[in-house]
Order: sequence, then C-alpha cells, then structure tokens
Amino acid sequence: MTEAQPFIFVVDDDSAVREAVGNLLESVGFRSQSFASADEFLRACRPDAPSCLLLDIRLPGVNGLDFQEVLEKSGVRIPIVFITAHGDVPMTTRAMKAGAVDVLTKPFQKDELLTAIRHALDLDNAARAEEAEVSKVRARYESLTNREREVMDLVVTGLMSRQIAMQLGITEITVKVHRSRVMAKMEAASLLELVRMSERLKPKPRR
Amino acid sequence: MYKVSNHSIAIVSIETTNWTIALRTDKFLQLGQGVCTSRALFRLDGQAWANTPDDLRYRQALGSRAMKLDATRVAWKLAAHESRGFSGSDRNDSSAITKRAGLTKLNATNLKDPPVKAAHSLLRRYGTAIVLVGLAFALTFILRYFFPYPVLFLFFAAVMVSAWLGGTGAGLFAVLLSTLVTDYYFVPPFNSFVIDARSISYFGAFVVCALVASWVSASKRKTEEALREARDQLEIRVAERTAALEKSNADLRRTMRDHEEGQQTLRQSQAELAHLARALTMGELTSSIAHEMNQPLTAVVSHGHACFEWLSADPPDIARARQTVTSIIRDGTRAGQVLKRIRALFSKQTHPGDMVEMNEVILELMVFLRDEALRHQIELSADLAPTLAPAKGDRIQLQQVVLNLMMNALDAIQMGTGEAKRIVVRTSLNAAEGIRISVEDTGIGLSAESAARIFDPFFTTKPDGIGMGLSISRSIVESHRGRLWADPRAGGGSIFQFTLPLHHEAEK
Repeated sequence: MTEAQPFIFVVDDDSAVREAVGNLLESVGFRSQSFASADEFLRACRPDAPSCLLLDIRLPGVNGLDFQEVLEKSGVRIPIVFITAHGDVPMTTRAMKAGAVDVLTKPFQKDELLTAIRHALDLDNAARAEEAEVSKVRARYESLTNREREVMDLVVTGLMSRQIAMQLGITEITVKVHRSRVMAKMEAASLLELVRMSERLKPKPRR
Repeated sequence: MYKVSNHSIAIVSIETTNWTIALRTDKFLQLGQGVCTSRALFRLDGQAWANTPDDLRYRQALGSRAMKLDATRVAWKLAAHESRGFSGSDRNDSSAITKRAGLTKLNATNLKDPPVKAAHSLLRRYGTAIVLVGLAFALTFILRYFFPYPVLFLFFAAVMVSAWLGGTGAGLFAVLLSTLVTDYYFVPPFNSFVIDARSISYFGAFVVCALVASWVSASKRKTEEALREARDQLEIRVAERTAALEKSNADLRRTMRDHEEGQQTLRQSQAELAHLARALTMGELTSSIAHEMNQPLTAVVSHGHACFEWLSADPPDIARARQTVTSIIRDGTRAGQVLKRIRALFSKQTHPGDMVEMNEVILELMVFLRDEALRHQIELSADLAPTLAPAKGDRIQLQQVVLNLMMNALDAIQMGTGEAKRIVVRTSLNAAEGIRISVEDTGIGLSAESAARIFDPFFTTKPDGIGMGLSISRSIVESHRGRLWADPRAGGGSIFQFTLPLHHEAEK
C-alpha cells in the first residue's frame, strides 16, 4: 500500500473562515477541501488518503456534534478535530467522549491546529493500516470453505482436534487436514497468530 | 402739581398674588398688571406697564410725568389697603378688597382731585362765573354808547358758559350776578336796584331767559358727563373681560407648557428605558455577538499564519502572500463592521428623522440571531419584499422592535414542544397601510389571557422576563404612527406584526 498525500476536509458555514483555514493548510503543504455544511461533505466523494475532518460545532441543519454521531453510525471513520467559537465544557466533553481528536477554540493558532491535525492523521494512518490488515485477513478468511471456517472458529477457542472432531461429527484425521489447510490459507505461522487474526475479524466494539 | 388730563383708573382685579388695573385716557385703554408686594407697588411707578406694547406710545402721548402721577395715586391707595391688613379669604374677592380699601371703581370724577384740590376747584368755578359776568358787563357797558337800548344777550352767553364749565351752581351764580348787574346798570332807573313799572316785564323776561340758559347748558353738560361715564364703565368692563381672558389665556399657555414638558420628560424616560431594554437584550445575545466577532477574527489569524508561511517559503510566494493580505484586510474590515453594528444597537442616541430600509435592518439582525437560532436548532429565514420603500423614523428604535419580536419568537419556540422550529420574518408593502413587518414563529403561542395583556408593561410569560419588550416596542411603533399587534398562527405559534406609514404619509 502506497502512502498517499494526506487530505484535510473543512466544514464551516462561514466562507471567510473556510477560505482562511484552507489558505493556512495550503501554506504548510496540506491539500484541503471545504464544505459549507455537513450534507455537502457527505455528498462529496472523498479520496483514498489519510485524512481528517475540521468540523465547526455550530452548523446550519445538522450541528457538528450530531454529525459526528451520524458519521459513526454510518461507519465512516475519520478523525474529527472540532473548531468552535465558544466551546463550553459539556460540549467539549461530549465531543471528546464521542472520539474527537481535539476541540479548538476560535481563533486558533497555527501550531494548535497543526498539532491536532498531525495527531489526527497519525490516528487515521494507524486506523487505515489496521483496516488494510483486517481486509487482508478477511479476504483470506473468505477463501476458506465452510467446513474449514467451522474448524477454524473452534480451533481459536482452544479446543483439541479430538474435541472438534466429536463436535462436528467427523474423524480426528479430517479435522487435522482441515486445520493445516486453514493455517496455510490464513498464512498463520502459529496458532497464536491465527487467534489474533480471528480477533480482528470480530466486529469492533464502539469506542 | 401735575397736570392730568381726563383719566380713569379702575382696579380690575386684585388676587392673592396679582393685581390688574385699567387706565383709560383720551386715546388709550391700558391694562397694567403686577405682583401684590410692596416692591411691585414701587414698580407701578412707570414700570408696571413696561411689558405692554402700547407702553411707549402711551408715554410719548402723555409724558411720563403724567403717568407717574396716576401710578402714584394707585400705588398710594393700594398701599393703604395693604397696610390695613386683609384676611386670606378677602384676598381672592376683589370686590371685598376694593370696598374695604375704599377703592370701588375709580373713575374720572372720584379720582379727579384729592379733597384739598376740591376747594380750589370750587373757587375756580365760581371765579370763572364772576369773570365771565364781569366781561359781559364791560362789553355791554361799552356797547350802550352805540345802541339806543341796552344789549343784554352777552349775559346769556356768560351764564351759559359758566353753567357749562362750572355746572348748575356756577350757572345759577352767574344768573344771580347778571340779574344784579343788569338791574343796577341797565334797567331804568339806572344806577339803582329799583325797577320802574314799565321795565318789570322786560326784566322778568331777562331773568327767565337767563335761568333757562343756565338750566339748558348745565343739563347738557350733565348729559355729556353721564354719557362719558357710561362709556368709561363700558370700557372698564371690557378691560375687565380682557384681563380675565388674558389671564385664562396665560393659564392655558402654562398648562400647555406643563403638558409639553411632561411629554418631553416622558419621551426622555421612554428613550432611556428603551436603551436599557436594548442593552438587556444585547446581554442575552452576548454569545451570538462573540461568535459574530470571532468568525472574522479567526479568518484574520489563520490568514496571518498562512501569510507568514508563504513569506517563509523558499523562494517566498509573494503572490500568495499578497492575496492573503487582501483577505486579511477584508476580514478585518468585516470585524470592524460587526463591532459598529453592535455599538449602534447599544447606542443611546436617537435619530428620529432617518430614512430606514427595513429589509436592511432585518438582515442585519439575522446575522446576530443566526447563531442563537443555530444553537437551539431553530430555522431562521426571511421573506422580504424585493422593493420596499424606506420608512421614516429612528433606525435603532425600529431595529429594537424587530429584535424584540425575534427574541420573543426564539423564546416562544424554546418554551414550546412543537416539532417544527421555524421563524419567518416577512416584509410587505401595500398602499393602504404602508410597510408591514411580521415575525412568525411555531412556538408555544398565546393563551387568551396572555393575548389580552401581552402589551402591558411588566407582563411577561417568560420565567426570566421583565415584561418590558413588547410594551416598549408598541410605544416605539406608535410613535412612528404605526400599529403593532399579535395574532395566533394557523397550526400553532403566533404572528407578531407591525405597520409603518410610508414616508410621504408620515410627513402629513
């Protein structure tokens, strides 16, 4: 996977602020795109690159905090840095609890903004790497036959081959064959590695 | 001492604090007014008339010395009645005062001479009769040498003139003298009071004629005097009425001035109250105002950092830096304008004669309230007539009315439970009522009880309201000759609207 150039999205209903933040980001070498509302952002197609979202809390239509939930629910995972003219404590708490990277109070300084953005991009990079890994494992998992998947699911719970054979009603020899095929297809060097892969395949709990 | 021609002076009224006198001369009827103090009496000496426009002409006509005499007399009498002391109740009753002071309607006859002068006058009247009869005698005596019969008609002339000048007494005195002189010198036998038998009828006719002449002359004189007096009385009554009218006029003017002053004070305190209410409302809007200030500031700071980066690049990107500075200037200017608008809203000054574009006023307020509405997820929109004539009035006050209505709408929505949260501000124009501005909300609406009292001062439906907003708004709208009222909105909520007359109508 190639390291794409990071991309910053800005959502603020004030055109002057959008323009200024865009200019600042451009001056330090970030690519950016601005939107006047959350809807506009949703409708736009986003490049496949490490990215983060600079989101104004107070927006016409859906406000920033609600939009954060909308994104979370629809499975769009993008680190969010909130910007607000008057961040009060409950608002900030809610944003941070929901997983925001930072809440910046307008007018913010360049360093604050860049620190938050870099942090967000690091998070996104890690997440993207994780996601890439998971999708690789998932592809391998998809290549297994139904019986092999059954065997794998039982293996990772720590059952012995004999116990698996009894549960599935097949011979121990057959289980062992399936098991070695699973190890090969999943490219797992050890049982421990297979267990980790299986963990990754499970749906993530909400943060 | 002073020669005073025919004057009459009358006390028209003496009240607790003021006196009025009327002075009539051959040419003028003059009213004098003053204050009942000893100093005012002193001021009578030529000064009391100073505030009447005819004063100068009067003085020129009579000479200030003549006026001084009259004034002194009045002053003397007033002083006399003051020194006798009056009870409070008397003071308001001018007839009681004049009676006790011996000052009943003064006119030419009873003002003419003080007692000492009366004796002089008597002497003069009878002296005149003697002189006239003497003159007639001398002429007749001389004429005797030219005519065979004595010419006695000159005595008739003397009698008539004496009766005319001196009245009945002087006339009869002249008749007596003439009779004696004629009997002695001109009725045979001459130089004796004896009358011979032939001359009795002649002499008798003379005496009768003299008596008749005296009587005719004196009564004519009396009639003239009576007429004159009647005229004086009439003029004095006119003067009294005039004085009363002038007094009620002055009272009316004073009342009007008091009223005007009251209005002025009221307007001033209303303006101060409105300013206070404005400041309070602005206080509620601080976070919105802060937001409005913050946006351009954020842009300026970000652009500033960007500009620094463009200049620090190697090679520096001058074009981008220049472009950025342009943006900084634009955003900084915007921040300044926001501040200016806020200051205007806080301003205490009023400019009642401005031409106010109501659409502009509304859009300006929308900027402030947009953030407030966003915070409560209320949709705020405007539906403005594209060509709205300007209203004539005070921009800040009218803005305050719209602000009040919009703030109320925001509060009403927050107090309500409706799904729709919407405020629409509309403007429209029609020939009949002029400009109409309406603020429509989907809020809690008005109960019948609230609807009846909502414009009363200190009536509020808000938990933390002071109940002045609508009351102030209504008085502002009414002072612009408009009307402010509230209606329920179909489907929940309420509509507050007000009208403003078109500019050319406002001038009428």
